[in-house]
Amino acid sequence: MFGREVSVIFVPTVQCDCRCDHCFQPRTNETITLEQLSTVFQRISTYLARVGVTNVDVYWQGGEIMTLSPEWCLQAGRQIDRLLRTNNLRAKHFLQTNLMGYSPAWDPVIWELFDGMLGSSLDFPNVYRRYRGLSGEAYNEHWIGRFKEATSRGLQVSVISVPNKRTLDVSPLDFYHYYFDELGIKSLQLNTPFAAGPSSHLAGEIFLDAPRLGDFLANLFDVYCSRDDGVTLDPFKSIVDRLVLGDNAAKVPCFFCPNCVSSFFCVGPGGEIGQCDAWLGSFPEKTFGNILETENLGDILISSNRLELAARTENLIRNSECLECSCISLCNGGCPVRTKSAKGDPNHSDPQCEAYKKMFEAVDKHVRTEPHLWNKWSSCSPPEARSLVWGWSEPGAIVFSSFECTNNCIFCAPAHDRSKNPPDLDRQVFDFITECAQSGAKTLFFTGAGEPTLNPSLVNYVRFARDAGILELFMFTNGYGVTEKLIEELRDAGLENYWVSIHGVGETHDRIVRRKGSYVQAFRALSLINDSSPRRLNVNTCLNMLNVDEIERLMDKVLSFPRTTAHCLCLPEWDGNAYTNRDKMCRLPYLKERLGSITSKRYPLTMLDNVPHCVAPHLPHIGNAPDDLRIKRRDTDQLVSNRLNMGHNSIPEPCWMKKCTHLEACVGVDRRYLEEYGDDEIIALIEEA
Amino acid sequence: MAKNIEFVIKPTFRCNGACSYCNVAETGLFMEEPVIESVFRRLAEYLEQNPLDETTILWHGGEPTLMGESFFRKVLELQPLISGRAVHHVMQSNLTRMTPALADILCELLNGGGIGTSLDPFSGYRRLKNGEPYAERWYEGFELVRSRGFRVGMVYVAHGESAGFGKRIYHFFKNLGVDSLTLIPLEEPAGKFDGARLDPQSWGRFLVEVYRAWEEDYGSLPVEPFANWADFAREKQSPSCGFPEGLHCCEPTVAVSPTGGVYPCVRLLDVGSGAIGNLAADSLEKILSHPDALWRSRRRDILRNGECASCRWWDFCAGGCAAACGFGRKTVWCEGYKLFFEAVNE
Amino acid sequence: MSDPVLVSIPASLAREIDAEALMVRSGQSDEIVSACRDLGARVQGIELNGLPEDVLKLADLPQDLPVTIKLHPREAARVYTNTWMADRFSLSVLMDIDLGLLQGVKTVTSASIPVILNVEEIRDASDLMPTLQYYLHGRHLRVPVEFFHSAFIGCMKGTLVSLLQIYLESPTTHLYVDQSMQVTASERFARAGRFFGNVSLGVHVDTSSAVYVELIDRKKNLFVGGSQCASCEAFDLCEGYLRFVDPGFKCEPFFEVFLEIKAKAQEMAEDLRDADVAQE
Repeated sequence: MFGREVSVIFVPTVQCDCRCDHCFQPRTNETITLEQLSTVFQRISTYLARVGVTNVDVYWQGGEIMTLSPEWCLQAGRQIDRLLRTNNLRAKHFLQTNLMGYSPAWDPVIWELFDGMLGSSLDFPNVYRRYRGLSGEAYNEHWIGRFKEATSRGLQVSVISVPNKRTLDVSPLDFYHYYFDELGIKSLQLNTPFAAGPSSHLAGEIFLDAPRLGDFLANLFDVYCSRDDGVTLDPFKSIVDRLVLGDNAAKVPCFFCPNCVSSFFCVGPGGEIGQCDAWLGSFPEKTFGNILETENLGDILISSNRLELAARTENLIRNSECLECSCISLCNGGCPVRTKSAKGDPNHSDPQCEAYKKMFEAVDKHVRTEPHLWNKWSSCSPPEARSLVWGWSEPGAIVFSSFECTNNCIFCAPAHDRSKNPPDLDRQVFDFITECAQSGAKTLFFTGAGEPTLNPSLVNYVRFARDAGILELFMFTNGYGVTEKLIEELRDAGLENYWVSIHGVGETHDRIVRRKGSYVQAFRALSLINDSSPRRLNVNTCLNMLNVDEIERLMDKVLSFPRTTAHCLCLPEWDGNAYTNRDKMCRLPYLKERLGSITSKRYPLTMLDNVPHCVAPHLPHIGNAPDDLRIKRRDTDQLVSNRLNMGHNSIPEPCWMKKCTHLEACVGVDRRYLEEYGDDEIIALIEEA
Repeated sequence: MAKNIEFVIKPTFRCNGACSYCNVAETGLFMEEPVIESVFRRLAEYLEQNPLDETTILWHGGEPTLMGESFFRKVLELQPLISGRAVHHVMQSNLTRMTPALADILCELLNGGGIGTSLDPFSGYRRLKNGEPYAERWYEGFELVRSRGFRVGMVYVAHGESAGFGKRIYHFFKNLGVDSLTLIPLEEPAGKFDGARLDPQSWGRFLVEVYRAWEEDYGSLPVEPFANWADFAREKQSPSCGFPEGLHCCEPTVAVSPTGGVYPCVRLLDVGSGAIGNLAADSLEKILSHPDALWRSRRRDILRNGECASCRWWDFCAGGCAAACGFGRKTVWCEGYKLFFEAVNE
Repeated sequence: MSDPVLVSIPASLAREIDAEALMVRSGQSDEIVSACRDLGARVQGIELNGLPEDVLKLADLPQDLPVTIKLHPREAARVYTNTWMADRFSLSVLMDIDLGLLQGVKTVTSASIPVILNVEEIRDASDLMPTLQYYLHGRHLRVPVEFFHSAFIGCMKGTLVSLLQIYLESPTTHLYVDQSMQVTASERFARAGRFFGNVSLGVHVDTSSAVYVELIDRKKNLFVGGSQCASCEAFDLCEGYLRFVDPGFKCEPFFEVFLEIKAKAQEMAEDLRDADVAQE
């Protein structure tokens, strides 16, 4: 009873390092074990796959996640990923944390599992939040310190703010100023307060006067519109998106969706399944069942508690005046758990109904009267089908602009070629660019036997090439040294096309490139380049035995960046490190087996390079480089033919004998691979094809 | 100055229809090959000398499709004589004899030009001699030519029964899916017509009814004479050819009989009166220099200074069609037009 | 290659009928699930009659399957309990035209589910105009209400869309098999007892039968047969659909709705033109 996408709110622990007055969670230390987690997600995975779900968003909530160890979380996350992937489910993780316990030790987890993003909470002014001895302003100061450290390390932090009685005394302008100007937050969501569970006794204080809250929200929205400074302030933006682009394009908060029951559920530390963390914490008697006790999630999802909850909006429509309200299609009755906590029964309208009406009215008026504003403001177009963008303006040329590298990848073919840059490298590069421009080259790739960003002249090369009339400029990078500043300089100089090399998720990448922390750099570079709206953003992944079994995990991450245009999976030349580490390189039959389950439908950006055609005839292949592609290493280097991957490959004899139909397009097989393993694999592959 | 010449070729007066208000005197003549060759050669000679003139050839009858495929194939063969000249073919047909093969040939000949046709939503007026239902055969022909991409213009002859039904008639033709509608009143003499006749006031009221419906419908179906009048009122330029009343009739008109005889007006050809030459014997240049070739201009001068001198609607009417009233007289529908113009200008 | 004819069948007859493309209809989830299991990929869509208590059983049907729920307005609120269907299927609600239509349409569209007014099931059309007004002026409406939507957009763009194009009833593209295994063009034809074929393993159509010919020559018959529809001001939006089975059908409420759609579409088109001019 779900669509293709489902969210699972995962509460691995309810223990928390904060003692906030308005918290609805029980004050216990219950935490799920890895063994239990395995059972829980195996069962969830089996059920979701059976009912045709393809994408699962896992929202990690607490308690406080950072009371667990980073190692435990990483292990748990990988385990969840593996269990979901076993059933071909695509997983994406999101983290909600109070951030108070953040330290850089969490970075590997945050980058590997959560793609460098996290959600936190901060109220202004702070009334209820407490951390150890800190409360009020002191709490916020500590939080700000953690926030600054996290953002300084490249993490993106979005924030939830829950207005309290003192918030309403603050002017909306000051409120806005605090979050966006003073703290530099880019994404803020306002949730409405409610008191339940341990905080029930404060209900009279926590629930705000709805009309007053409505005025605050409406005025805050006006400030947001007038500032127009590119930040995200929800639920305003999502409401505008909903009105302008439709429900599918808008990320509407759960409390405004038509029926929260049909889009997510929550799993608690003891395997209990409920609607959300608020339900689990506040009204444990309303859980749907326990997945550790019931094998089939489907049986739990038809529990009377869930079915009653599912019927809540229907009851509202039948028994209240909600249908008479013009806002019903925007609020859909609001949040059932807030309603139950305020009115004892979810089958009433949301306690903040009057506040929402005022907010909707303000948004609606804005959308209707300022179409030019919202057109610009809501410039995100509806999600489009992704498609592979490949190719360049020919003729093209490649210039090695660095021979130095930060990494020492296990597959690096030109590892033997890495050295200090020649003292006259600048002259050699400039001469080559001039030569290319004169001969009519339209595209130039800056690459290296190393990392181009290590060469301080890179921006000058780019500008020189652009001024010489070469209009399409690409750069390969492993992410090292890629900063917003560098991207901006490169853009100004004329470069807007990138190849970023990432070879695995988290530690896998680090093990392959043999440098700790390099995944974070590469992923962050990808993220920064993506945000700069490049013309092309291609990702390059070298297939080997360390990454090939979990390659989809990386492919999903690449696909999650809206600006990525191609994801190239390649085989290395059997030279340098690749030859030395040939036991870690992929054998073709195994590769065929692994690539067999990858489809262009699911991974529309994926293409193969230097992979014999018969290994994956169902996927697009780059094929051989054009003959007129000019390549420049050093003056002293002898250039080789471009055919068959610069002479490294050959078409095995059996391919000719068997008259393989892909001969023309095929890159062939590396000569040294053939020397090592002979023709038998090839013959078998051709016969299978 | 370059001229617009309207050739109306009637290759036969024969018709398979037996419409109750037809006033064409039917003869058994069919245009023979030498005649049609002469017509094209004369036209070619003329255009050689007057290359900028534009010519519209309207294939008319009787029922021109009775000439059959071979005749129009012959016409296609003659086309190279006038190739490169501004000559456009159109046709007026009851469509009831249209066949796929003929439609293919006409498709090539008319090359985007339209077919004018007639239908009456009131039953009993339009009939076929063989007793088959006119409307059904017409509809089949209509679907056939539509499937070939022809533009179809409807000529509706209003009669006494039409009065009071202007709105429904407008929508009938619009719903039918024709590309344009031309309204004309049932002229006298109207053959053996025994139905309700139209008086000028009724004609005027009928025009008002259709006009209101047309206006309410945002003019989505082009209706003549309204579209021409509207253009004229807006642009203050002489309306284009197309409306058969007075000012809007093309001059010169070369109406050609099955034997090659030329008349300066289709109505004159129908009654066989006032020939100005024969294309078998005379060059087109000579025919067009006949004093009666431009008789409409002379008539207009007479009326402008005579009985129409003080009429405020002169620019829209120019005395109307002379067919039923005689050379020196204004149209018999004068009071109807006045009623219409007054009503829509309120 | 042209698409195969889509045959609407009762789910209970799934094993009796052999056709390439099928629309399965039933008011019982079990029947539908079982029919879909039997017919596999040949099922192109589901017509669910009402929202049965055991509707959750449909969760086993393939994702993205077109599902239409045939619903009376008073049952509209039930869609909220089953919004999972909108996430899972290509869902629309085919709503009977009866008292309470406005509330019903408002409820379903509030849940972001498109509505199609069921012109085969007209009991009371007095809510039709208010429902059109909701479609035209509802502040937060974000999903289409058919036939209003296609007609309105068509009028605005000058490419008219009639009921005949929205409610497909051509035997060359759609067939309807009733419980007695007789074949016709739609449910209303079946109700009127007008059939032109039967089922005997395959679906057999008698193309020379009067009903079949009448359907094929639908427009011609209207124009040559002296039907009032031929000269109706709203013909371009109806094409005689409403009175085709019952020439005595009182179509006045629809007629008013059609005229309103045309007028409002024209206003909108003019506003957009003015806006374009102003922008230039």
